[in-house]
Amino acid sequence: MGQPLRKAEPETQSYSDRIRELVESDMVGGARLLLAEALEKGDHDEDLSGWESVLTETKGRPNPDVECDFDRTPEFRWITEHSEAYRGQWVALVGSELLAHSASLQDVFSSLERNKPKRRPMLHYID
Amino acid sequence: MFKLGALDFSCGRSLFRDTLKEAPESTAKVFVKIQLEGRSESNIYAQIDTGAAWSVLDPLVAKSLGLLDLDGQRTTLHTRFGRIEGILAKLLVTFLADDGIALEKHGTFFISPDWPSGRTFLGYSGLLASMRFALDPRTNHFYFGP
Repeated sequence: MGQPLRKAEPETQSYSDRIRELVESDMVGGARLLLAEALEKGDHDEDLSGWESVLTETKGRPNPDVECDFDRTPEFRWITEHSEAYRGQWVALVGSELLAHSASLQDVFSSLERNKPKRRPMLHYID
Repeated sequence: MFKLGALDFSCGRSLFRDTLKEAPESTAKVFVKIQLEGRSESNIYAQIDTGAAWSVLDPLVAKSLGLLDLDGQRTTLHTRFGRIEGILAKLLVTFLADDGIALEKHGTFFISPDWPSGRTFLGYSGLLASMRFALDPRTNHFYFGP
């Protein structure tokens, strides 16, 4: 005997809730497909712009205006060797040179503003 | 830079770190240099995590950049630290170059005050899946491109 056909039940959950369920289950591809379906149908009364914003993939672009960084190994070496003496403080370093240090990040910024370094310093909080 | 046939594969490269003092791990990981929201005071090392759907922002960094109260999409993530409530929000990430040109890209980050501080991850679905990247573990070079 054949199986009775199961009648498809109408979807009672909102698109937003269904998208959230998929996102919370790490099913991002499924969430994107459902969002695309919702946007295509367009006959729902929901604001999906928030999901559209976080689920839409964007292409990157090279930006030549961003200053090149450099090898920070000397800064990390300095932190390893001097962390005990500066515990609880922010330090600003370029290479193995300590430019400023303070418990307040704002004070470090102010100090760097007064004496502008030639290269971008590395800021680090030593806890 | 890397070439893919006659085309550019990457626009820049930077040195990555295997370990970070503030994020101790039992095995070597890949921490790359990024900047957030185009703000030079936000330069941090973030861990590449191709197994994670979303990027996650260290709440201390989020607080210092005023991003903890950002208006985003509320959600709950199941993490190794349990269920954590927060928001998903799009942030501008700049992959800083030591050689070549930096890459700017928008990525979706999970931001929550309940996430353990000291850890920022770059996840796959909301960021890495739509860019090129490659690692040279012999020289610790991270190559990236649009």
